[in-house]
Amino acid sequence: MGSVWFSLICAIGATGTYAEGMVQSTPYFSFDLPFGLGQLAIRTEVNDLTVVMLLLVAFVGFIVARYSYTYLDGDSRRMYFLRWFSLTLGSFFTLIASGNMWFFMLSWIATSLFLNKLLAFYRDRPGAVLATRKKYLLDRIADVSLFAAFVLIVRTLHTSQFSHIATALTVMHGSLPVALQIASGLLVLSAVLKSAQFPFHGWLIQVMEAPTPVSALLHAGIIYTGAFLILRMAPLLARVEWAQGALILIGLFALAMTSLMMMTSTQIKGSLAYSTGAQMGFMLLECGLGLYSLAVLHIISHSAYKAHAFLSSGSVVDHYRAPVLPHVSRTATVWNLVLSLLLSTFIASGIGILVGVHFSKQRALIVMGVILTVAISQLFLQVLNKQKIKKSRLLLTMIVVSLSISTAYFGLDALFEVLLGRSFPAVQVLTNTLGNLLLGLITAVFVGLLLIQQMLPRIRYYPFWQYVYVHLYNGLYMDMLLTRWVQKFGPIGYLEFVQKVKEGRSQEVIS
Amino acid sequence: MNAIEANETKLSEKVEIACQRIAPLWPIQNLVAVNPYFGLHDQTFWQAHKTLERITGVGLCMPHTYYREQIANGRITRVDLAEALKELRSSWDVSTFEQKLAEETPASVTPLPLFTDVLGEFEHLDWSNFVVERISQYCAAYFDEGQALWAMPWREKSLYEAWIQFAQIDKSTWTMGLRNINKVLSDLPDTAIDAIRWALHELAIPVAAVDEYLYAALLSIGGWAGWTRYLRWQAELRKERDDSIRDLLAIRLIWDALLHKMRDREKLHVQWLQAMARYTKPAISIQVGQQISAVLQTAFEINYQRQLATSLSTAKEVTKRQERTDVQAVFCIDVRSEVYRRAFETVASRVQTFGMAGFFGIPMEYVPLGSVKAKRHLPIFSTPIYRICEHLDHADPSESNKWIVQRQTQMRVFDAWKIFKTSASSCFSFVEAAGLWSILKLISDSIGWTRPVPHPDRKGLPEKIYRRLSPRLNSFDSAVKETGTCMTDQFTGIPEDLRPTEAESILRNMGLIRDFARIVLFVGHGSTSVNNPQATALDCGACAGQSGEASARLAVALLNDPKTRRGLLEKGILIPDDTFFVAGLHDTTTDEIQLFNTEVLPSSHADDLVQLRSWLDQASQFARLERASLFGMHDAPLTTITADFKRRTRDWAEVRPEWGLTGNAAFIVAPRSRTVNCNLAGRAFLHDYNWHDDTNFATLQLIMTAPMIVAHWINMQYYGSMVDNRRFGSGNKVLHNIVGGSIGVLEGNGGDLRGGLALQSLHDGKRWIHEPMRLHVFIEAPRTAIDDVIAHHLIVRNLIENAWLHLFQIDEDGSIFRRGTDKKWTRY
Repeated sequence: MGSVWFSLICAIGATGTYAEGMVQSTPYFSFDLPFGLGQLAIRTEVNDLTVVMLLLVAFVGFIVARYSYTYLDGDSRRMYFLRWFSLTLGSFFTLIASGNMWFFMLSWIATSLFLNKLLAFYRDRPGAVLATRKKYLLDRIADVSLFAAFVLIVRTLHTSQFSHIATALTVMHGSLPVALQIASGLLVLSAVLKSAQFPFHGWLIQVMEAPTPVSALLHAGIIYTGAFLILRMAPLLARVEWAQGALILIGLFALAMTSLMMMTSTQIKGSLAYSTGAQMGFMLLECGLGLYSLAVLHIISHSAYKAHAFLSSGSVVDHYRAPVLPHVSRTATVWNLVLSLLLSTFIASGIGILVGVHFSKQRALIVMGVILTVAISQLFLQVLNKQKIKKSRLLLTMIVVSLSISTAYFGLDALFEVLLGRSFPAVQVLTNTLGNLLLGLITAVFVGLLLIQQMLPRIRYYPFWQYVYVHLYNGLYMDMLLTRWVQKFGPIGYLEFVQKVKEGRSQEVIS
Repeated sequence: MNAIEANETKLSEKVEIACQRIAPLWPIQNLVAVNPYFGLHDQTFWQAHKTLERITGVGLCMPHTYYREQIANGRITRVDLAEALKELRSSWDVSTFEQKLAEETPASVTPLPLFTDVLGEFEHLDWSNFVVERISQYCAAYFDEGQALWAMPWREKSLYEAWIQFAQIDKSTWTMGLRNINKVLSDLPDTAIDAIRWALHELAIPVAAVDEYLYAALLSIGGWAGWTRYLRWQAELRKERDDSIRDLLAIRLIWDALLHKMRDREKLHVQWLQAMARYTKPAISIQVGQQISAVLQTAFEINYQRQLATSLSTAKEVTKRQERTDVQAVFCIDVRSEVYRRAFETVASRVQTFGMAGFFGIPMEYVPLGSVKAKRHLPIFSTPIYRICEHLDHADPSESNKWIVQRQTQMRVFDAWKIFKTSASSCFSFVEAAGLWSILKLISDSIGWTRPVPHPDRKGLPEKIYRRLSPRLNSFDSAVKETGTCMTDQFTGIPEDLRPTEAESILRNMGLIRDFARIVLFVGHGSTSVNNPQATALDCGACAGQSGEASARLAVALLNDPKTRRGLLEKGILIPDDTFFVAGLHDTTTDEIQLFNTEVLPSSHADDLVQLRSWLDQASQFARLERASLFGMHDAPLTTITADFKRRTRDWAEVRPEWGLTGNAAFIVAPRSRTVNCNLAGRAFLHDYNWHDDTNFATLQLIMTAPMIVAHWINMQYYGSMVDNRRFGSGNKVLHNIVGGSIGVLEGNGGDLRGGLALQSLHDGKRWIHEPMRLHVFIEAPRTAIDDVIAHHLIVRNLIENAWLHLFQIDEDGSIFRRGTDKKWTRY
């Protein structure tokens, strides 16, 4: 507990000093590596991104640790839990602060290994062991991929410092050498594996086998390891157009799939986990679009939101204890859809222009604007689709709500651009036809999601959508296949469990 | 009737019997305690022990290590063992028993296997788990109450028909290496009962094994079986029928049969035949007295019995006071009230307390302000008679109306916001625009300034309006009826002509019909916790898992009503004009009592009120001090204790806001004077009853058929959760994952639906706080009267004669008699 207090204070202190203008990179220890692999150095990289992330992780870590302390009251292994919790958090801190690639890599591996201790906190639960093993295997693939990427980068650019990449790249004109192209691909792969993107999302859904605070820590922090890598490597990835395209496509596909799965989920924690998967996809999409500071905003907001959502997941039942409202029949009509889309376009673009967004110059932001429009039309549709009820007051409230949302959205975007803009390469929109296609595709996916949800009350009875429903509800079986695969690496412990039950010792299993 | 038809009826009877063996499971929004062994009442306690042990591997006893500890710390003595051996008519003496206990290695009882178990062992693949997982997933989708935005498309069909549709699309068996199951699925019979017949035939289950196989199959998916049993229970209350449980059984059996059909191998077949042989082989019958666990459990209970009986019979008789008492206070029978009543009587000598079921005998359903649905506010066995609406005190129709509309609008906005947060197309923009807000929420919820979500009772209402809400005794004027939500033509409130009768029965049932004090306090109880999926389990069970506030306030309003009092006079009950009824709410987490309608007290009672409040404050402190030891705060100063209890009410990480009814072991039906000098340590339900006032023993009959059974259910809920937590408890609270909106919890990622109590509610990490023992019922009434009730009520008879509880009678002179299983009373 003390260590978490300490880290929060340190992070606040660091921000203070940083704000005073002490920008520096301090090597504490360095060690030359053979084979032209540069240096392994404990070197802190102090920049805007580091400070923002440190503050965030320290804050969330502190809240979650405080929660765990009470939550695990009476568990004989509470101290064990908190120890590994602190270590996980600590190694994640070093990952954020590290300015050296090899040290980053060490922290990357350490975080994963320490977290595994938490995921498998209940070692006698077969489900916990299974999920941990899935994550373990995927993480090792990510490790190898990251290692290879770093080797290629360091050997080509002759630097193992993140901060030197941008400078090293400026001398290269035109398209980058193959080595760096491959490295970019490997970086994307590592990030995707770490971010539990579909179809590698299974373990993320199953970490409910660990105490709730582990889910909170994971979903609100550790899951960003991959995204953070992308942000650190933004100078390189911004130069590799196909890698950006890949990020967009993977993110888009994963977010569409996972958010649909989320809509079918019947468990609170399951639905929160699917939501994380989708949100990670969205963030990768933003990175692909070059909207880095928006991605950081997304990380922070989502981190706080998801930590809160998990920690308070026991409260969902209160919703069902509340008074029951008079039933209102709903009908989704095309007219309502058009009306609410018009209304929200008007609000979103109006606010956007008022805040000073140059949509004509920032084409990626147009996409974001469209996504926002689709989102707030959801609010209007809920009111408009209601039948036989006085709607004026509700509608008015919704207009106020959506105005605030739009203002908050563009306002925060602008704020983060000011705060972090200089840490990232300038937005380079995909200008070619392919780029246009991608932008169109994103828009289509979001409108599609809206349409599906609106039409559901009717279309869910059609055979095609019945098929879609069952397959989505089963997570498209990807995780079941993965389960079978990791089971090949030895028994998971259920046999011991079954044995205990069979020997009439199942009472022991629980206590 | 030909042979086939005879078979037909026989199978559906068997299915029916198996389904009735399952106990219902209430949803977590009204987590009422249920006896998990409810369906086994036709068997004696020890028969049921054998039945369960044979089928599941765990009977009705704790592991031996538990009892060994009790022997080591003196909770089971040699005297107790000797008594137990005598009671169970064992041929052993104590030394022989001790020798047996020392020699004996825990007997391993292998549960009866289903086909999936045999197949799992054969293929080294956990098929049983897979099947339970699939069924559980399916049931969650079918019964979901609103978690999923995309609802399952076949919910209008029956559980069985919908499953066939679902399973034909579901490809998860394919990932397990099972191909072409659709051929089998499409050939399945149209009805569940035919499917069951088909499955039993396919599995070649011998007739003699059918009963047990059906029961074992249902128990293997016991959580959802309990849920479907609950649906049937609710349907029966509405005089309808619900067969989901039978469908569920069919689905479970089809899985077995399906796998059997697909995996036709010689060796497997041999193993399966061997497994079947275990079903048909009759259980080895060991006399109860020769079962070590049974002796240990009995001795454990005897130890408590003796202490309690001694305490009751040696307690000093209280001489009846001559002067008028200052305050009479009526509490719920709940064991938590015992601690408080004792504290209250200690600090205020001229106070008299009573105990009765916390709904105060008013069979009502309650409609919260702005709601269109009434909530049942009475014990689960009863049917509501009155529909009571919540209303705004001193408000004219337009003001009420205004707040109703505002509440509904706010809640609609809240709902819309929730959908905005969770929809596929809008959740991303939500996060970026509003996610940062959660930083503040994280801080304030963490410190306890705010609740993660608004409290359901005050959702959509400002605090000042919430404070003005109360249950309405009278019907509404037609003007309000139109606007409000109690707008049905149905009469609301208690009709004036029924009030005297209702009031009379309340007073008679608690034994308060004369010598009224100046203030009579009716105290309901409720618990305060946040972020607790099982919060309602800590509320008043007699009010269907809700706070008892509304019942107490309504009872008080009824008894303060001048017309009611006039009617009571005709029935021979005189309530003096200076007697006023006041309602209160006992917060069982903090042991504080909040008073409600104190404005009815005239100025002449101002001093009484001040006095009362100060007594209550002191009593609360006493009660907290006593309960603090359970939280390991023996020596802590009072301020620390108070602060800690306060924290528990709003700490979102708290897994033990309070100990609830942990420790419950006895139910005492007697005047308070019998127990007033006993420290019952919060382990006894206390029901006030004076048989001299009970003409024709109608009240006794009521007590034995309602509160006694409720107490027994609670007792068995704790018992089952402790003895077999894996099956009848809900496991580890830190893994709870709410499923289906408000249906229940899963432990971790999946598996069966879990009912019963979490380990955290029974165990503090170092030791068990609860002690699993059957309820000890003590009744002060003539033995013949008790026998008479037993003779007339099958449920009561089963409980007592099958030894699901222990029955004792207290005589006029304080001597105690026990009713044996031979139906004879013997002096204890």
